[in-house]
This record gives sequence, structure tokens and C-alpha cells, in this order.
Amino acid sequence: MIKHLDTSIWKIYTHSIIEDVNEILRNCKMSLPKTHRLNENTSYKELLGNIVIAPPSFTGSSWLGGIGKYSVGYASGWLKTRKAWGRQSIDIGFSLSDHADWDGLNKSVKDTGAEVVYATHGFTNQFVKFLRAGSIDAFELKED
Amino acid sequence: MNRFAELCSLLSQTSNKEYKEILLKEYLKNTPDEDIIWALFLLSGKKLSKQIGVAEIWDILPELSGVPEWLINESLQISGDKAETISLLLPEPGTDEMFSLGEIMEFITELEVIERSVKFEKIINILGKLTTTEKFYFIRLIAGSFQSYIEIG
Repeated sequence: MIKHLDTSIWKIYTHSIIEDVNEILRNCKMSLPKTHRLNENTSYKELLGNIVIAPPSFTGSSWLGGIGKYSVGYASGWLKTRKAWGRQSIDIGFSLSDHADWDGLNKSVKDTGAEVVYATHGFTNQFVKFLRAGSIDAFELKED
Repeated sequence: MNRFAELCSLLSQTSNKEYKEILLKEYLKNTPDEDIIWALFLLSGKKLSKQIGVAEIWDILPELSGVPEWLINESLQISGDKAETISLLLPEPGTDEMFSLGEIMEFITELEVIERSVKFEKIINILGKLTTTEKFYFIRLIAGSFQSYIEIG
């Protein structure tokens, strides 16, 4: 997500949970834009006009309740559907997912040459049915 | 058409009046006059007459998209909107051919006097050349179900 942002205009501040993952990614030699870890000393003045990347729960945090004007953007693959737009109390949505999409999943199956596929999480029933129709042995793995 | 479709998409995502104003200003600043006239016409809530129903495109969606009918119906369960499901399931255009809003509106206006079967063929043909977001609003326009996303006054 932060790779899509224009860092020549805005500074990017990150919630600790996000920054911990960024550090891991940077250690794996992934190049990421410069980010600033949010802490209790970060002032509203500092953040004004800049971007804060945080998990969804952050919008309900007491910290946000105490600061001035701000707007909330929300990134999720679900935002591809208009039905999902009204569900979040947000100012603007970005359809961006951290999951593999339909085409990506099918490409992975094809590229690996897998003969048997176990599907878990999400629309497993539909994916298994689709793979079976294409003569690939597929099963749902239940999470419970 | 792409900029107008993106504008509508962004306008419909937010209920914040201040944002809507910013979005509209940005659009007007960077759009040629011939498109602005149509954009304002549509956003002012003027209705277009129905050329074909969404159901007519829906019926041939398996053939157009290459997606099996059962999976199309599953997708509709998630989306809840046929025009949206069609626009998401049809492939992105293979060419870089772009249509301005003015060109699309001219195309729609000309449909009025065309015989039904030819009209349908023309619509399907142009639909294949539009991006996902453009497809959605194009379908809404030709089905006479385009909604404005701003309040006048």
C-alpha cells in the first residue's frame, strides 16, 4: 500500500503493528518508502497534511478521538463491490487486497502443475468446484 | 469516459460534501468543455431513455466472459448488482482505444434510431472496449438507470 503513495508530497507515519512488518520486509531486502513510526509523542501538528497507515481498529482508538480534523481512507479487496462501500465509516475507499485474487490463484495452480489442490479460507467451495470442472482433483480444507 | 467513470465511482464512495466538491473541481479543471457539458447534464440528474435492459447483457454473460453460469450466479450473490457483476467479470479491453464522454454520449444518442438487433450488437462491441469502471457506468447509462451522485443546491 505504501508503495502507491507519493512520498514527495506526504510523509508516511505508521502504526507500530504495521512498522514491525515493514521492518521484516526491509530485512528481506524489499525496498519500501521511508516511514516514521507513530508513538505517544507524535503530535497532531506533525501529522497534519501527512498520511498515517494503521490497522482498521485504529479508527476506533481513543488516540484518534483526541486529535483534530482528519479523514479516513480504507483499503480492501472487498471495495471492488459497491455493496461494501457503505459498510465502513470511511471517507474514501481503495480497492486493494492482501489476498490472492481469482486469476492469481488459478495461475498458481497452473504454473505449479499441481494435480491435487486443497483450498482453505474464503470461497473454498466455489474454487474447488471450479477446479474439479477443469479436471483437477480439489478438496476443501476446513479450518475447524 | 474513463475520467467521468472514475469521478462517479469516487463520488459514490463518499458522503462527505467537502470531498465531493474537491473531486468535482478536479474533474472540471482537467476536462475538455464538450465532456463537461455531458458530465453536468448527467450529474444534474437528467435521465436517459432505456436502450436495452441489463438482463439482456446478463443472459449472454457466460458466452461473453467465458465464466460458467453457476460461477456468475455465485458472483452476483456477492455483488448484489447485475451491472456491477457484468463489469467485473468481462475482461479488461485488449486495446488502448479510449472514448471520451462526449463520444460515448454521441454513441448512445445515435442508438435511439437504430434497429434493435443492430443496437445490441453495437453495445456489446463497445462494451468490450471499455475498462471495468467505464463498463459499469456505460451499462447504467444505456439501461436508463444512471444515478447522479451529487446534490444540486
